Amino acid sequence: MFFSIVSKCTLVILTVLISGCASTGCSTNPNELSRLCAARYKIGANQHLEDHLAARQIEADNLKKQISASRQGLEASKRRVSDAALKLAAVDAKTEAVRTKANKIAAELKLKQLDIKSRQSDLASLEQRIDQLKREKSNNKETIAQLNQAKRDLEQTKQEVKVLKDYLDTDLLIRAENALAYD
Amino acid sequence: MNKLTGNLVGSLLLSISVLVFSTQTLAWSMKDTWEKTKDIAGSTVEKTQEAVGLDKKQPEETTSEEKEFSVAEDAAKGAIVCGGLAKLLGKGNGTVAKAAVACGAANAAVTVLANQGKKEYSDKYAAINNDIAATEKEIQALEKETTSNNKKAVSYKSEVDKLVAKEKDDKKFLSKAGDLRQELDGQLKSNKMAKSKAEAKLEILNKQVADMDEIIKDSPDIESLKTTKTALLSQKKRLTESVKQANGVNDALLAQKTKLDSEIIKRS
Repeated sequence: MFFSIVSKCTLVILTVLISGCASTGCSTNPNELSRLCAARYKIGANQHLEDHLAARQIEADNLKKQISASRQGLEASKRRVSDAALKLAAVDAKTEAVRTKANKIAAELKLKQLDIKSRQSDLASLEQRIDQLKREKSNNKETIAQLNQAKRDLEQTKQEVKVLKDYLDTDLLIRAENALAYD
Repeated sequence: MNKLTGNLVGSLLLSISVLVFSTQTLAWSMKDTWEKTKDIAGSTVEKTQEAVGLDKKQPEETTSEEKEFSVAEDAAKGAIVCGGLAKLLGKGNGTVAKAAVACGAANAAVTVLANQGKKEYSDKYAAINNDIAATEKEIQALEKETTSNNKKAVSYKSEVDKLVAKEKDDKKFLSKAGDLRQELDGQLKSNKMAKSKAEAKLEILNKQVADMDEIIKDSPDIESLKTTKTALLSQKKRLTESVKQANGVNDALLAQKTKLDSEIIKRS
């Protein structure tokens, strides 16, 4: 009789302890990552969370493609500016006026080369930030806000690249060609 | 067999005794800690109860349901913990009661929302309240950074003006201007980063304000929800001001760079 009571009590205590230890503490909140938890305790695969993560990865890849396109555009401008600068450096102008004009354009080309370098550095920093955000496997609000911010920063950098490129294509490089034509 | 059964029973009894003893010790220790915390928080509680009006006798016609979801009563309970913790963490006495009231009221509102079965709103509100202090620190850091960037922009303006006006030797000017231009570029980058951080934080705050609107619309009778929204709006206003200032700094730095560039071209 006594043994039976003790066994039952032990069973009750053990059951309580085991259920306590096995209490998952897993969050079912879709904004919190608990894939390991979810897999271990089979409390649902958090599909909503997975969808958000997948969408963010696609968004990050899309931003990286845009960075790559901007970088290629800058690289092309850099080559053209560099060619024009080399040609201008070799100018052996017959008149002082042409020589002065060529010097000024060469100086401006040099400044624009620095600006191209600066925009390239901006794009590299942005790419680094996006890579870091892509590695973060969580849906917390900071990560999402930072990715959205990276998107806005990229838009601004693209705008700056466009202004720079337009100035080079429609003004400075044409002036450089004209200066060379007078040589 | 009998010996084995005896041993087994003995072991089980011993395990149960150990379990009961440790649980009891833990309970005593918890009770002791709670008593100490109550002592430390004592004066704050009095002030808090006074502030939320709990030192006065409650009207008799309060129904049991109203009492169950009473923000004022839960606020005082929350304030015991908030005020006690604030004191334990060594904050100044003057602000403890005030902070405890706000903290207690917010905690109470979280409990009330949860008791009303509005788990999503309760969770959202708890998260927003937990964020406010950290956001405040971030905003203060950003404001400091913006002020510093502002001062640097003013300083760079005077440096550019001085260089353009006073350096007559073109070679020296070009050399100094090159260095200054690089510094201006670096400063533009720092300013952009500060602006970017502020804008990202602003996005979070906008979302939190929208969440608060939704919660308040659902429970317009809970006053502390409105207090939290007011605090968020004040933080939003300061961040918007920081972004505006960062934009101004950006324009000022770009203007200096343009001035320097045209002088460099002119003297080349």
